[in-house]
Amino acid sequence: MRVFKALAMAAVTTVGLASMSAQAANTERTLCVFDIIGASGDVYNIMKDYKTQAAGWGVNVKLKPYTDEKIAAEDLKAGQCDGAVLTGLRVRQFNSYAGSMEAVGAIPSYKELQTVFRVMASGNASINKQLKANGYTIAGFAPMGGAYLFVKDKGIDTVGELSGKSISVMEYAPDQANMASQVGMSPVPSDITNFAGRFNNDSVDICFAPVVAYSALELYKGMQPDGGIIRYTLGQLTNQIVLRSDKFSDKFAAESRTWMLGQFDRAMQVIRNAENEVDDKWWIDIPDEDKRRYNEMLREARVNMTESGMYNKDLMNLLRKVRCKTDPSRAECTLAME
Amino acid sequence: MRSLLSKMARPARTLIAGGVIAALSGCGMIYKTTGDVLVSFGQAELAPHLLAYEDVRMGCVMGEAQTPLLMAFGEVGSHPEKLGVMTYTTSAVCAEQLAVEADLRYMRALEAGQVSEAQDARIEYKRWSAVASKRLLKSYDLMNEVYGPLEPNECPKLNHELDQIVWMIGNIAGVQALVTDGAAEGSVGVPRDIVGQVERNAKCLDNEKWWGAPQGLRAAVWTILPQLAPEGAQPWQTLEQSAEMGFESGVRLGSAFYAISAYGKGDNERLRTAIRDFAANDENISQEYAMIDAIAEVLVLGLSDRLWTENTGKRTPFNGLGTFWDDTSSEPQTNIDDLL
Repeated sequence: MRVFKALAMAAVTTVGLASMSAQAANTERTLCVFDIIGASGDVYNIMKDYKTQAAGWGVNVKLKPYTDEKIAAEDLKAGQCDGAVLTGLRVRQFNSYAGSMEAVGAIPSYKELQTVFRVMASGNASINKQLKANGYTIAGFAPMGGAYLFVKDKGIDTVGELSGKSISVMEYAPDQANMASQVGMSPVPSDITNFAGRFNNDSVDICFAPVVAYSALELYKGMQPDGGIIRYTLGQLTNQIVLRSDKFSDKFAAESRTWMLGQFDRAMQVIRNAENEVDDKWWIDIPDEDKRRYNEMLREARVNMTESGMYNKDLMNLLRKVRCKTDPSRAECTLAME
Repeated sequence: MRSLLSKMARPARTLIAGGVIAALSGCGMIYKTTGDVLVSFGQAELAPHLLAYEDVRMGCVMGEAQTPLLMAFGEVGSHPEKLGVMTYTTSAVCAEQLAVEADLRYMRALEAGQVSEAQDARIEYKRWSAVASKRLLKSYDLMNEVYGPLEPNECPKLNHELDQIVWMIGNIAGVQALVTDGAAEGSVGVPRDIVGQVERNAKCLDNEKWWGAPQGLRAAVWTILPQLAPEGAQPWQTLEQSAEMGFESGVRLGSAFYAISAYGKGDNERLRTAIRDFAANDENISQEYAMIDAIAEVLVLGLSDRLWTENTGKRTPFNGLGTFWDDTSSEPQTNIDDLL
């Protein structure tokens, strides 16, 4: 009889555990995905694969496409979404560490960007602590491409010549306006819907844009006949997954970061395709001396903006280490100012 | 005697040799003539005949089977490009339908918690999307081969009805090529400025004559990239007008553009309205362009199937396009309590 009772208890426990795990697998969460093209876009497409992975981690993720990033961010704050996929510039309001990834001149190449993403997905306790703050957890990064200066006049190829020129900057990224003002440019606050039009119809002299915008937004129209793209990466745009910490476990966030890191090459394919569409004639190569001047100017800008609280000090410190690991000859590597 | 025979054989040999040379060089001529006849027949008879069919499957399989044969005549100097624009597009419909099937399988597998099955379905979806994208891009490229190169904002001469329909189909194929390439992880590498070009190209068509579709196509592009919209443009209003013109003329392409745009935006309310309106206007379909309307229906049905599958695990019920799982009966319910 005792044996029977024990067996019955074990059965109840097993059934109980089984039903608990079934319950976990049925946890439903909404993820609001910003993709400029919507449900047919590249980002949304990656998230459809993410959804299959998430099912394996015990969560049924419902995806909701947003073509207006501001609304996606607001819906996340209002609790309409349990998580969201946003660009790094919008992430700043949720997590200053991850939201400083777009800092000007902080990540010069895709090699360094991948290294940074590997650090983010490493599972290191101090990094995880940075990624979970104020009720939100950052659960993955994807590259969106380097951003460059598109100019209407090839002659604008040194820092000094930027002075007095007008530039369209994203109105929700105060560091861009700040940076532009520092070199004597007149920033024209714009948004994603009008910055290209302003450049193409000659309302501004310069626009700051990712290379993926070149073809889709026909920025070559604005560069004709004498313009070009300055071959110097001013920043890396990223997509990030932001989760409400009370809606997802730490384990889920960790799995998510690892999986997103695995999508790096896939996201890069889209970026490379876009880069291949740029006619070589548009690229403006600047002398090494000018590159060093840009490096120095942007470093000073980052230091200032970190002091003013716009950029996160800890991330700036990490990014400097990554830059110096790749290229120890950089002047900043002996200064340790960031 | 021998010399007589050899005398007689000499002209015969010359004749035979001449005949062989003529036959060999004539192969090219025969091929070209055959090609020209085929292209001429295709443009004059086959295309209108095909456009009047409402059997999309027949159109797409014909495109898959006949396009290589048709295009091969381009090698011998014939010009099958205009027909190629149409057959590459109809053949892409086959691949797109298989991609939709894979997408539905992905949804069902996820609902059932079958992760590997869902992942497999995603792979299949991407494969078929890549096939569709390549075919659609080929269609768009052929269209440019026929009518280009053009200066920005320049319209080609589209004097004949066939040219206009080829121009419209080729441009729609261009946008679709980009969208399906997105689904295929950008593996085809469709140039992204296609959408801007198509937006301008659509202006070359008479909107009234072509069922409101040209303006609908432009407005669909505006919803994808608002940056390309002219100042003061009202994409949804334009799409509504386009849908309405399509209903009146019996080719519901505008309504399909409306539905696709709503789906892309994740606007389920508009999507449901578009599907309902599409289904409610299924009479008075143009006989001349039944195939275009039928392709529009396939596209709308695909969207409806996605909605149904996501919510019920099953696709749209048979003959159920325009209905939804949570519809309430419009008939007033008779109280049956006293009958029990």
